[in-house]
Amino acid sequence: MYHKKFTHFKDGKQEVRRISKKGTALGTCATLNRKYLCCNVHVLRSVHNCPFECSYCFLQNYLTDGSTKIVDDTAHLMNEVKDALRSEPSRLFRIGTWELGDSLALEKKTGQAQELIQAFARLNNAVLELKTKSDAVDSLLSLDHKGKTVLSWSLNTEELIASEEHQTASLKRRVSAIRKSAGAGYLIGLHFDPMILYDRWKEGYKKLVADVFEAVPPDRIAWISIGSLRFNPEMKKKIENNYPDSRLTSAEMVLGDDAKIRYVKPLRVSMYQYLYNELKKYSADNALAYLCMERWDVWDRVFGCHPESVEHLDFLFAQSLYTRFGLGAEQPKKERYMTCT
Amino acid sequence: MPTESIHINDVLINDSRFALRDFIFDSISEPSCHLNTFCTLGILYPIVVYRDRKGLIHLVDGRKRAEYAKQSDERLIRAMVLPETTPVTDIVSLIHCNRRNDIESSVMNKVQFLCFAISMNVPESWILKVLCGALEFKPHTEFLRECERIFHLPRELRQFCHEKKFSLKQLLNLSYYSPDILSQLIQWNTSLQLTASTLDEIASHLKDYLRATNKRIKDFLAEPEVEDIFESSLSQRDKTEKLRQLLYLKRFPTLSAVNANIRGIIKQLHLPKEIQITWDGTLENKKLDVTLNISDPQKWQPVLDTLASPDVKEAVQSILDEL
Repeated sequence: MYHKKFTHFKDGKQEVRRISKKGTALGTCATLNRKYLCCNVHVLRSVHNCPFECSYCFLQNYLTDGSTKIVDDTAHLMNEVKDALRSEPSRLFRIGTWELGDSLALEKKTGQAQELIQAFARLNNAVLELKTKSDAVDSLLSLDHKGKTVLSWSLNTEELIASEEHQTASLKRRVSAIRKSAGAGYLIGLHFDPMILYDRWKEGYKKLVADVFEAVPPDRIAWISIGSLRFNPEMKKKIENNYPDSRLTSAEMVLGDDAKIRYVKPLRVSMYQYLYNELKKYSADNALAYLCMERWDVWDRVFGCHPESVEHLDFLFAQSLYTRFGLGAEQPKKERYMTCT
Repeated sequence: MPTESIHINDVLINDSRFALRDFIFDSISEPSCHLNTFCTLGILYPIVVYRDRKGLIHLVDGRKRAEYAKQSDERLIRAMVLPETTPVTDIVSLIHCNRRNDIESSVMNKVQFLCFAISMNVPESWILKVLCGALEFKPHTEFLRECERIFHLPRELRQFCHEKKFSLKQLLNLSYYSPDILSQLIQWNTSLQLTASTLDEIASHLKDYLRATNKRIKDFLAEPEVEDIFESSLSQRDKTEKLRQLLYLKRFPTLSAVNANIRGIIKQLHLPKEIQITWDGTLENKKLDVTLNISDPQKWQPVLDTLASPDVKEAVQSILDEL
């Protein structure tokens, strides 16, 4: 069967194509770099491309075929997941479907998330993370998820959603979806990432945190991540070309050791510290907050400590999720995580 | 191919559809060199022309010979006449072979020659597969569109890029700047000493600064520090350096301030020349490199004493706090 190959990333966003699973779909987060602490989440590549248009999205520079594809044989995907889980039965795997697209943006058309939620409900040592900028949760609310799925939102201020996250759900709609999901018993993940500097960023993020915590009880929050804008150097021109009104690329940024451009460290630290202080006003004392792809010294400045390694952070996740929500087959043992590859 | 004598006045030279005048900057050569040869030996080789469907004769190769013949009031000139059916790809290949020195004298010219081929309606698949290879480009799908972007730069700037041997990346960077920045760069070419890399850096920082501050170029030029530079009696080279520093400061205010602070801390230590402290200027890595340059063993102990002093320890702590 012939399929048109879209050369421009925007062209393929409108047409969803169902494909069979090819090769390996389960992997680790592609941003893994030893100088920056990664949370060691696993990714299940079940969707390629996204109907949304975030000006900073790396997909505009990543996908060679711009068409939107959904892997529609969930059973095959799950077989691969089960094989991985069987190889390390005492370890808790966090598995997200958001690496190359939004986990829920196409849910009304595909129903893929429903199938995955029900499949993960039967697993003992895995948590599914569905991360989205949409509000497409209605079809998920009545599912028997058994607490094994975390519905996560990528969150930003109203101003930034309007100027940089085109076609996505407004903050009001995302917050409403968070409220409904928490009400349906789902654990909630909050990703304040990418934080972006603009004139009134402090007011924006303060209001964002207040709005979100009005919708979700702190004890239903599985994890909170904080990260800042970062992109490959080649993306600069792409962003400027595709989104000429965006001011993202003109900020004070430097090239990091992971070959990504990000805000200079003093700016990042001040952003993270500000947001974390706001979060602490609302979140539970034992909440699990972490920085996405940041240096150990930045962790120290924001949290006053840092994990020993990527593997240690993975263990801290497992420990927190087991203690607070009973997730995982058994009490996590640190040594089992420290030897993981 | 046999030659024939044709009327020189029938040959379209500047108006030839194959004229490269708008596409290739000539390399600097001695025009009298050709004239001398023509005067002493005459026109040795036939020109190459193309006869179109309407019978018009377009010069393909031999502009200097044709011009000399015209100036010398010759009536006829020997020519190889390409028939109307000649594939345009063959003609473009022929021009490339005959003008290789000029075409390949700069990346700018090579890019412009590709644009010439596009203007001739040469199939893009052939350009990508054959011509790009011959010009040592490794094209991707958007490559020809990028070449067209470059070709749309103002002619004066393209000429500058040709003379200064801009790389493809530098040319492409330039093609993304707004017309007012490009126009300013052309104006600065007379008051600053610009190389390919300094122009690239100045343009990039200026563009980002204007976007970040929502200013226009005339706002920037009216800033007192900028006026000071251009109204000063500094040499072109010093003005260029001052402008670079100023733009860096405006583009990276946090980075500049922190690095200046660290430099200040180190300066206050009055370290002996045997001790050097360096750090990552991007501030990403929280670490200091302390280098000892010892050529006299007698200096070893005093250097170690300096390093172990409370002042140095305190300074190291302060710098690490900054990082």
